Formats: sequence, structure tokens, C-alpha cells
Amino acid sequence: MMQLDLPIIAIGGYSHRLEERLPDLTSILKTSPLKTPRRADRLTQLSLAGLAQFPAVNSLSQETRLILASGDANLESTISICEQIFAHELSPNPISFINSVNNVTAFHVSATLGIRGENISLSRGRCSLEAAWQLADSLLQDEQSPILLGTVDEIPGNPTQHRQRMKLPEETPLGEGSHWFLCGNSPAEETPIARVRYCGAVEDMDAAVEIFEGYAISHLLNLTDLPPPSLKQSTELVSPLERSHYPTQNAEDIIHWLSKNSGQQCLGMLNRNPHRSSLTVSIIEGF
Amino acid sequence: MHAPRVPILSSASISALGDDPGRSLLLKPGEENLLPGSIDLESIELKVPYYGLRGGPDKGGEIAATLYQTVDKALAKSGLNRQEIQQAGVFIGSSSYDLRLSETTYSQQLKQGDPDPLPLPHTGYHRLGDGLCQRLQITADAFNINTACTSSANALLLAHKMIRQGRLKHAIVIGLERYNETTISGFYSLQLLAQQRIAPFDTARDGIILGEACSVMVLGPESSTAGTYLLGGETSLDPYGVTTANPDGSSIAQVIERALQQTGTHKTEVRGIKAHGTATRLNDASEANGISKAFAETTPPITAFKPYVGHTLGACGVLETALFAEAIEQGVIPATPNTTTADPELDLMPVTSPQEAPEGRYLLNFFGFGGSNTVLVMEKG
Repeated sequence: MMQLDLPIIAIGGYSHRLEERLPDLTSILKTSPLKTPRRADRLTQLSLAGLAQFPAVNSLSQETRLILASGDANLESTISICEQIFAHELSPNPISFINSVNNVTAFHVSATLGIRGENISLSRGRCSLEAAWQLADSLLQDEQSPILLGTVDEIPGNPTQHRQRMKLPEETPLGEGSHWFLCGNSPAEETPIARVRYCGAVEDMDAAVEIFEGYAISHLLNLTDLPPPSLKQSTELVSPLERSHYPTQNAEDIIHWLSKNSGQQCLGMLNRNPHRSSLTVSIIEGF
Repeated sequence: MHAPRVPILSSASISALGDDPGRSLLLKPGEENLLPGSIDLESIELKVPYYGLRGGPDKGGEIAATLYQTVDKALAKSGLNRQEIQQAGVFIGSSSYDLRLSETTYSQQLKQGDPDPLPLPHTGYHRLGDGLCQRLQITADAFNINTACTSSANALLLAHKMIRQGRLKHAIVIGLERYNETTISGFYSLQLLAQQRIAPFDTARDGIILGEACSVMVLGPESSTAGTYLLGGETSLDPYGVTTANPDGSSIAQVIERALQQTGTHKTEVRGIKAHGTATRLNDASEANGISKAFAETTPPITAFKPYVGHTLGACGVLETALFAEAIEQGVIPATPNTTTADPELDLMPVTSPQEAPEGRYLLNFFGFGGSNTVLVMEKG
């Protein structure tokens, strides 16, 4: 489950950092060619806002499959239901309940795009993108139809309360957004934008260093709280775009790196969830 | 066509049937322990029938203990050594994970008059998997599959695929759903809960009774020795609607056909079908129409397990597969309790008495919110 060969043929996405209040996604989506489903919650709106910035959105074939990864998933809908039930002692609103179901966002995305391939939502905290890559590589081995792989995470309606929930200092920036990778072989057999070559967990930093050196990485994105490893080869450290609480921010960081770096480059990414001792190592080749 | 046979090395489950559900399934329909209990919700004024675990509802924080105990039991039966466990893949399917922990914490804050009570104090779906992997010293992280009621069926399908592809040697696949009031009151608000009993495909069926369970299955490398095997299957999106499959049965027939095709199974080889059988008017109609379309000539014997354990939502994939595997190993397709009168609008009636389960292939249907349709194929022999 470590050596992958996952071609990425299109990338794009949308995100923002919270300043004072959450932006109104409805107005952002008004300019999008994608029709937002009625009663869609914020997580679905964010997904569609990201897809509106995704160049391949209008050329997806009907058999395209969807993998949607999220660190915290349907926060706002679930919070809203918990308040209805426990604070107000009321039965939940049926629409809120349906929106809180953990694959409804993926359903709305597929329905909006008119794609009919299999549809899987999954989660692995801060390493959700890596889980999605591993799954996509496995699915592509058996079947060639392309995979639209997305990440999405939202800030719930009360950001101050959310900082308390996450035990974050008051000034900590919060981020939300969705980012998209079209995975598979290009129908025109063009060179992909990138290939994920490796994605797997290792026991410690020594094992991670061995992998980074084996792939001769040119750039390193360290998302852990550990100091970056010393490598034999010259490696440029890549900083995350902005340190904020945004569980799937690594998708944004990778898209940014791919957009900025032309020519053959190789990015190593180090990540892990709190309370896990093992590290997740990924290697992405950009072309 | 050769269908890769991934053996079910072991399983362990805890549900309303207790922790030896395979034996309980062979009880005659109508026996006392097949009836659900009932539960009073603490949060809102509501009393509903419920298939709960013995010991009553989770007071908060018990889910990890339930998970660890069931995993330990399945691993002990599997014969895997320490190194094999540490290299295994972990796949979890659930619709609520440890939501109950958030519920009890928040509820306590409200009762104590906390000026800033925090709804949903624990976010994300990865904590149980992280804790389990850390405890078993498994280096890799868990796959936490979130496809509503097909979550753990899809977890089985993905684990099967990764073993077949040689990415993993062993997989620990978990279906997990514990009592939580968000889900029960949500289904109540959708008016999907039955009054007293769950009677799949019966003309008087009136809905779901929810249940809780933790079920664990250990899968191993491809094998040709005798036993019970997972052959694979298919999952697909039904774009008809968020809460129900297309009532004309077309999408369900399609996923059945594709599961048969993926596993090289001819319709005549199918010895029995475990239906999803939620006992709601619409879902049973969709499933009956789908099965009738896919098996237009001869329909194999059909059974449904929710009258034994309730609808355990994200856990039902692993739980009902484990139950069916154990039953057919013992040579029996269990009867479907509570179902007595065929619905004249459905061209399907599940078995009302136990049937012989010969060697051969069996289908297991799982359907869920979010247009998620999954069919697994299992083989005895």
C-alpha cells in the first residue's frame, strides 16, 4: 500500500481563511455554471465552489468515479442537529438530518456533475487526502475510468465556538475549502501534471528519511510538529500556504506547489494525525 | 471466470443477539429473544423499539472498549501472529463513529448549566481507528469509510480489493454502530421507524427498527482450501434520490448484475440472497423490483436479518455478512422472522422457515442513503 502510480491530469480548488465572518457562498456560487442543489448545506456549497475553479469540470465523462475525503466532514449540519435535540429538546429537522449523513455531499456532487461512477466518502483526519490517494490507486488498478478525487472541510457557523471546540487560541486562523484532482490516464495520452509515487505510513523519521532520499526529492512539505529531517540531497523546504486550522489544507498546499513549480520536480510530504506515533510519507512527482 | 477467493479467517460480533449471534440466528422465528426492546431517549420525549446491546445505552466513552473487545476476539480466532497483525490493513465502516461521546459530553454540559456548552465537542471520524491502530501497533492508518448504511459493506469490498491486488496480506474489517440519539431521532423525524416489529417485504410492513452492533471480520490472502470466502462485488451510485433507490428496481438490478459479472458468477449459481430488507414501504419495493428484474427466471431463496438485529446502519455490512457466513457454514439459510403475508405488489417473498444452504455462491445486498448501492458475493465451498 505504499508504492503508487497515480496520475493526476487536472487540479483546482477554492479556499479562504476566516477573517471576521464566513463569506456567503451563495453569492460566490451564483457566478458558477454549476447548479447548486436545493437545500444543500455549506459542505456541498464549498465542494461546488471548488469545482467551479476546476478546469476539467465540464469535460468529465459519465463513468467518472468520485472519492471525497474530509477531515471533519458535516460539521455545521451535525452541530445544528445536536443543538435541536439536546439544547431545545426537539426532533431534528429532517433536511438537517439528511444533510448530516456522511455521504450526502458526495451524492450532491455526483448528481450536479452528472457523473455516475462509484461514489466513496472517507476520512482520516489530517491524512484524509493520503487515504483518498491510496484508495484511488487501488481503484484505478482494476478499472480505467477516471476518478475525481476531492477534499472538503468547512468552518461551522460559529467560528469562535469552533476555536473553543478545537482548543485553539482565539487568534488562530480557520480555513475551509475544497480541492480537486482528476486522476487517471489522459484520453489524449498527454503527460499528466503529476504522479503520486508513494503514499504510506512508516514507523519513524529514519524510515521517512530513507524514502525521501530514495526518491531524491527536490522539495519537502513538513506538516507535522516535528523538525524537518536532514537529507543528504539539497532540498527546498516548502511552507504551508498559511498555518491555519484546516484539516485537509495539504490538498491546497500541493495544488499550490504544482502550480508554482514547472519542470520535473519531486515533492516529499510528511504528515500525521495527533496521537499517532507513525508518520505518513507521500511522494509527488510534478512534470 | 476465476473469482479471487479471499477467505474469511474469523469474525466476532456483538449485537442484540449477544456475542454468539450465529447460533442465535438458528432459533425458530418468534422465539422470545428475537423481539426488540424499547428505549426512552434522554434528550427528547420519545420512546421507540430498539435492538440494543445488553447493558443499555452507551453512557459515553464505551464505544472504544466495545471496539477493542470485539477486535481482540476476532484476532484471537484468526490465528494471525503479532507481526501479521501489525502489517494488516484496518477498514472501518460506520455512520456515527463516536458521536455518542459528543452527545453525552454536550448533554452533561447543558445539565450542569455550563455557560458555554459545546455541541459536537469531538469532531472527525478518525479517532477510533487511530486509537485501534496505535493499540495494536499497526503502522498504517485506518480507512474510515463513510457511505451511510453501506459503509462497512464497502469497507469489506475495498479490503477484498486490496488483498486481491497484493497491497495487503490481511485486513481487519469493522462495522460499528452504537446507540446515539441523533440517529434515532433523525429516523423518527423522517417517519421511517416501525411501531413494533420489523417485517421485511411483508404486506403490513411499517418501517425500520434501529439497532447497535460491533462486528469484526478478519480477511486473509487468496486461498483455494475449503471454507467461506468473499469473492468481491460491486458498489454504484443511484442518482434517483438521497434517501431511496429507484423504486422501479433498475439501479438495484444493475448493481446486482455488475456484482455477478465482476465475480464471474452465473445467476444459476446463486444459492441464496441476503436482502437488505429495511421493511420501509419504498425501500423494500425498490429491492424487490431490483431482485425480480435481475433474476427474472428463477429467484433464489431470500432471507433478511434485520428482524434479528435491527437496522445497524453502518455496521450492517460486516454484521450481516458475518451472520450469513456463519449460518451457511452450518448449512442453513435462516428464516425471516415477522414476515408472514406476501405483499401482492411485490414479486418477492423471503423464506419463512430455514432452508438448506448448499455449497455455492450467495449474494448480500446493502443499500444506503446518498444513493449508495453495494452487493457482495460470498462462496461456501
